[in-house]
Amino acid sequence: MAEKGLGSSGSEWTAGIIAIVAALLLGGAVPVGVYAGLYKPKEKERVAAEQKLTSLDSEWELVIQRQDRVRGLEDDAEKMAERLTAIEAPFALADVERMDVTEVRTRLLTLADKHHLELLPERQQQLGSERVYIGNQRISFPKGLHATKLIIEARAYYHDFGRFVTELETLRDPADETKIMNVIIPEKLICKGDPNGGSRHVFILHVFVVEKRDINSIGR
Amino acid sequence: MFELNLIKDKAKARQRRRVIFLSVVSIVFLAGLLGIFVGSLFWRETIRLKSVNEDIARKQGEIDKLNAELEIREPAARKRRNGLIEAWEEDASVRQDRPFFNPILSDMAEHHPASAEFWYNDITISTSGSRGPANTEDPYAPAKDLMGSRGLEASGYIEIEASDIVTESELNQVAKQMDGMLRLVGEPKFNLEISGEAPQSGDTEASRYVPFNMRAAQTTFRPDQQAP
Repeated sequence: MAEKGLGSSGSEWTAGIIAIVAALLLGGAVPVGVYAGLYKPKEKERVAAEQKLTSLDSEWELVIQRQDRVRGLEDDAEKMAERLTAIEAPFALADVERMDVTEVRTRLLTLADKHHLELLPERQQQLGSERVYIGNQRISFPKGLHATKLIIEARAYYHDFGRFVTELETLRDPADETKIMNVIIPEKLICKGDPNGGSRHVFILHVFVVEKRDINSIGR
Repeated sequence: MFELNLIKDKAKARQRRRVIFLSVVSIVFLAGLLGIFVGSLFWRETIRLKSVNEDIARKQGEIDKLNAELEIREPAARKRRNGLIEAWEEDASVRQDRPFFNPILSDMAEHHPASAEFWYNDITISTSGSRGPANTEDPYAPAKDLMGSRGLEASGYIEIEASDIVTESELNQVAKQMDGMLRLVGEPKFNLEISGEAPQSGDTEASRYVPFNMRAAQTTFRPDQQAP
C-alpha cells in the first residue's frame, strides 16, 4: 500500500507539474499574444501616424510661410497702390467717351487768358472763345496709361506764348508751388510768323494730358 | 499504525493537490493580470492612434483648405503687385522723362547772331511719327512716338551786313550756345539760302535779307537713349 501510495503521489506530481506548465504556457500565451499580435502592430501604426503628423506639422509650417509670403505680396501691392495713387495725383480725370479732359481744358483756358492768348478773327468764328479744344485722340501706353489730346491754337506775342508753354509744362497749384497740377506732354508745335511783319504770331500746340488709371482694376 | 499512515498520505495528497491547484490558479491569475495590463496598453495605443488620426485628418484638412486658398490668392497677389509696379514705373517714366518745349523756345528767343538782325518766320517741332508713316500694327506706337524723339525745323530771315562767311560762323556759334535744345532735339544746324537773298532798297553794298532754315537732329530726349 505504501508503494501504491508513493506511486500515486508521483503521478499526481507529474500531472500537477504538467498542469502548472500548461497553465504557464496558456496563461503566458494570452498576454504575449495580445502584446505581439495586437499591441505591437498598433504601436507601430501609432508611431507611423505620429511621424505623419510631424511631417504634416512641417508641411503646415511651409504653408504658413507661404501664407506669410502671400500676405507680404498683398501688403506690397497695397503699398504700391498707395504710391501709385500719390504719383498719379496730378493726372487728370478724363471723359473717355468725349475724349475730353474738361478740368485741364478749363485750366488751360484760364492760363491762355492770363498770357493774352487770342484767336485769329476767322478762327474765332469757328471756335468761339475755345482756344483750347479737344483733339479727338486718346492714346494708350504699353502698361495701361492713357492720354487725351488737346489742341491749343492762339495768336500771341512770342514771349507771352513762351511763358504760357512754361506754365503749361510745369502746371503747378497756385496755392502750393511744389504741387504739380497736371502732367501735360507737348507733342507738336507749329508757329507761323505774322505775315504782316507784326509781332503777334500764330501758335498751334498739340499736347497730351495724362489720365488717371483705375487703380483698383490693375492686375485683377 | 497503518491507519495513521493512511491518514498522513491522504493529508499529503490533499496538500499536493492544494499546492498544484494554488500554483495553477496563481499562474492563471498572474497571466490574467498580465493579459489585462497588455490589453490596457493595446487599448491606450488604440485611443492614441485614434486621436493622432483625428489630428492628421484635421491638419490635412486645414493644409488642403489653406493651400487651395493660397493657390488662388498667390497668383492674384503676384499679378496685382507686378501690375502695380509696372504701372508705377510707367507713371514715373512719363512724369520724369516727358519732353519740354520751353528750353527750345527760350534758346530760340535768347540766342541771336551778334552782328545781324534775325527773325524766325515758321517753327515746327514734331514727333517722328508725325513726319513718317504711322505704324498701324503696334497699338502703342502713338504713345511711343509721343515719348520718343522730336525734330525741329525753323525758317526765317537774317539781315546780313558783313560777309556771309562771318554770318555763317556766327550762326554756328549761336547753334553751340543753344544747349537747351540738346536735350530734346540735339544741336541745330543753320543753313543760309544765299540764292534767295533780297537786297534792301536795291543797294547790293548795304545790308540784305537772307532767308535761312534751321534743322535739329532727330535725337531722343531721354539721356540714356541719346545718340553718342
